[in-house]
Amino acid sequence: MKLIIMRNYFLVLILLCALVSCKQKAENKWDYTISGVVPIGKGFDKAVMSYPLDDKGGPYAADTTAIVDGTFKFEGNIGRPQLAELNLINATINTQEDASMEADDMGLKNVALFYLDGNITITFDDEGMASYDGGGDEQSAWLQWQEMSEKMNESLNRPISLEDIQALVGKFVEKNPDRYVSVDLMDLVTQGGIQYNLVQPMYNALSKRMRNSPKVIAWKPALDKAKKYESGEMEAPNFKMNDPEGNLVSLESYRGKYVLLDFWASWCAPCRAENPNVLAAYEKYKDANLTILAVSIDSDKDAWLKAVKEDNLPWKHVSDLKGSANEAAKAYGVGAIPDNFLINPEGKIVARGLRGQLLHDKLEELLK
Amino acid sequence: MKTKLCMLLLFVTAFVQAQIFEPVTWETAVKKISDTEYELSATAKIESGWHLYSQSVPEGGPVATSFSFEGNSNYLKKGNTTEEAGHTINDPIFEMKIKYFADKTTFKQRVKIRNTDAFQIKGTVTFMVCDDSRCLPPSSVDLVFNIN
Repeated sequence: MKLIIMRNYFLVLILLCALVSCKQKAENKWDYTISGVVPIGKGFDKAVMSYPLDDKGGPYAADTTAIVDGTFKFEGNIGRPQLAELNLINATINTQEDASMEADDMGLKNVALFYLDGNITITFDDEGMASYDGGGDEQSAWLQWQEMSEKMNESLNRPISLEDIQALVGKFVEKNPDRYVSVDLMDLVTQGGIQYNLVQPMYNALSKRMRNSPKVIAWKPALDKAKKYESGEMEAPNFKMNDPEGNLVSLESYRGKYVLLDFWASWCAPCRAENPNVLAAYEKYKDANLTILAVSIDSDKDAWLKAVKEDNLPWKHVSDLKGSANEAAKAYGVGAIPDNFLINPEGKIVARGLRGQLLHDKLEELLK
Repeated sequence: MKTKLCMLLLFVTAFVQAQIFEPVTWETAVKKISDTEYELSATAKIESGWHLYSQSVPEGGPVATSFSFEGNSNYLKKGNTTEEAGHTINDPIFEMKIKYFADKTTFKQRVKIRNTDAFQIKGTVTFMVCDDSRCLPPSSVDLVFNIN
């Protein structure tokens, strides 16, 4: 009797161990088998697959395998499903670049993009276009993203803009909160600075598992910082800078008004392109307690003044002509331009990075 | 499923690349042309979507890329720093023709050496980059060329 209990106990232990190891396996290792089918007679003899090894943005692995009788196979495991790019190589006539660029400047010929997730079969047709079969949930989500973006591309009568992509990513994340594909796509819209209004809803939509993934944990501080810019808790750092006539202008002297602190430069085409939008907002709200203080990070005074005149910008302009070492840009942590901060009458920052319609929406909300 | 989306690939490569906000990385190389002449090259690897500008851009446009080499008694510069053909577009904002580089480009500088011992040439490249929605202000990167 005792022995049976012991044995049962032992069994339970084994089962538990098995469960734990199984769980660990699910958490730490994703197996993949990528089988390829390539048209014979095109001279492709190698397939190269590159993918990130982890979420730290470190070096990429590039695995190479031979194509034999029109087939190839990659097998392995990885910490989590990652987007991989696979190129077919024709060693006799082409380098990798030539093979994908040849007669197709979109670079999608003889290239496959997929997630390393389960058993996937990739079939290349005679045109070099890839189609995919099998794979796990991440691969399915990736195919869904491709379909969504393709549909959008077809429905628009204009080139896709960054804003279109942002909106589409938002929609995708909402539908796929527990997918690494969502996290990877969010990377696109968080690169070079987080727009709080854009990213926070996506973050909120993510599952707990994804919020605890290394990539998302790495963004969290930037997101929290972006939130501070919206919260009205952050004091706008004061600075003093000369206007073109050499008068020292202090930001503090604008207390009592909403100030759009705008960072730009004459050589910055995207800033110049945004100027008409800022001008429209100024015209609309200048009588509703809004003013604009524009800081140029030019170093050439003539270029600066010429741009002010060309773009017909009637508000106050200042610059220390130190270029990228501009003191105000440093105080506000401005990296890329255009960038702006909306400061309330009490001198607190209430928004950052307002562009296009976002600028009008925010002003409407606060000033009407 | 077939995909024809150029945009898609662009964005994919954007996130297949480094997460750090440093769209251009520089690598240097030195090639021996003859016993007395060497070619210094600086190759810029440019992240997808970003543009690096030519050494000559009309006044009033973006800030041109520029190279400077620290003089020393071991060598003499021979001619100007050359660049590749790149892409030239009629920029609608600046209303001028602007030449830029994308993806990868190499600048070359020939030098005549006056010394047979190994030495270093130090240089600096100043450049700015933009993508469709933003620019990074001009910054400088030190370059080192080892002549053996």
